[in-house]
Amino acid sequence: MIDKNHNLWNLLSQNSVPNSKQKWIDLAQTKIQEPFNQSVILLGQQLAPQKVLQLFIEHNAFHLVQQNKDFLDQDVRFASLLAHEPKKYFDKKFSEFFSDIQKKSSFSFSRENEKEALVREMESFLDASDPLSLKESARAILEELYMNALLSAPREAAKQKLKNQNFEDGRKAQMHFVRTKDKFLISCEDPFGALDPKKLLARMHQVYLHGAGTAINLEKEGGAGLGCVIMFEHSSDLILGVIPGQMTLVTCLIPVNLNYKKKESLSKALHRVELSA
Amino acid sequence: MSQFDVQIEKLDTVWNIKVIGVIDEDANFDKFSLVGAPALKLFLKEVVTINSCGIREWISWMNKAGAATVEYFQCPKVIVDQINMVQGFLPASGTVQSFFVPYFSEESSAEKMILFTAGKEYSAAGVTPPEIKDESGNVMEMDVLEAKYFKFLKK
Repeated sequence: MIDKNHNLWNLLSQNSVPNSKQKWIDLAQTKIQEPFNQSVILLGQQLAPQKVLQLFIEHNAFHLVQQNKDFLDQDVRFASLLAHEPKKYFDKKFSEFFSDIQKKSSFSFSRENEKEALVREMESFLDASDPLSLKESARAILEELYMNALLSAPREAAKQKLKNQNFEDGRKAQMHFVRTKDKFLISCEDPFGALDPKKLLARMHQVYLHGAGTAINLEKEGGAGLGCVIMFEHSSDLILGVIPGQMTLVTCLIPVNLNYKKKESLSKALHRVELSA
Repeated sequence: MSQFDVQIEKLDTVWNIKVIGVIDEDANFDKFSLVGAPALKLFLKEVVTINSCGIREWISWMNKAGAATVEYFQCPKVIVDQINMVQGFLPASGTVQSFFVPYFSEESSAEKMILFTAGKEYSAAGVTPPEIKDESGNVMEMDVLEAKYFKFLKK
């Protein structure tokens, strides 16, 4: 528990959801003793991506926020609401997560030839004056989210014999863009709910542990197995959300006003959110 | 469909290859066989982006070059990032002869991509970054985490 840093404790108190039964654990002050649950929010400091994944794999973490100075109060608010009311995440009530939304847009897709149109929509959504780091990361993330929703998700849904297994009968995926003063949110929703967050996190951990060159799937069948790591590398925050058999909602946050070096220096937040159907 | 193209100029001792556009799940390298190439020079500055499927397709394509020496030229940042992240993206026998490095001005927020060339801005001895100024004459800084971005030079 936070007990040694008065300012940090004040920040957590001020930005957490009132009366939520959340437990904040400062990893710099606490020795990990038992697996975590969905109401525990870990607070890290300069943890590398591999260490973040290790916490999720080995200690069943659900939420981790890192002490990035300029974003901490916002990140704490976000994590607290996500842990306390995950349904709001799946309902895409982004205005409850961010108080300073400047604009938002959503686009449906269901066919493989719609990517170029999506890219153009995203480029129009961003500003011409936005830094290259934002544009490059937004494009890289959109590529992976699009492929996952259109190709990997239906394939996985068919393997799991879920109720929805394809984009027939009017089913569509959706890409959501939200811009706040400090962050660009790109979120992709599919109607399958086939994501297995633990399996995905284990895969990401393998990539970080053994290297992407060793872990890559070079077979023609299936994805290359690097997409989520690529998204994590390009984001400051990654949220993996699933209502099994119903919806997968994966979200990446990218800082909007940082050049490459400052963006690379941020430590990453990770969340997994699972709701029963 | 992605806007992807490969242009190959076959000379006696080397094939010059220009890769253009988006390297993704739709990029089809099958029509651009590398079998029999004496040596390969790949010019990459017009690559816009590459996704995880594209990385796989690229590695499979490069693996077909056999014993040919491979040199990458004018690598944009998106390619440098893959060279650093994915072992095998640059074949074991391959070298990077030039690549782009982002520069940034804190004063004006100006951004520039500067080409570093082997033997000039970098060599086996290390990196000698040039001084770059923005339009107002402010000195710009390299906009990378050097240990991470230049990691491939140490291999």
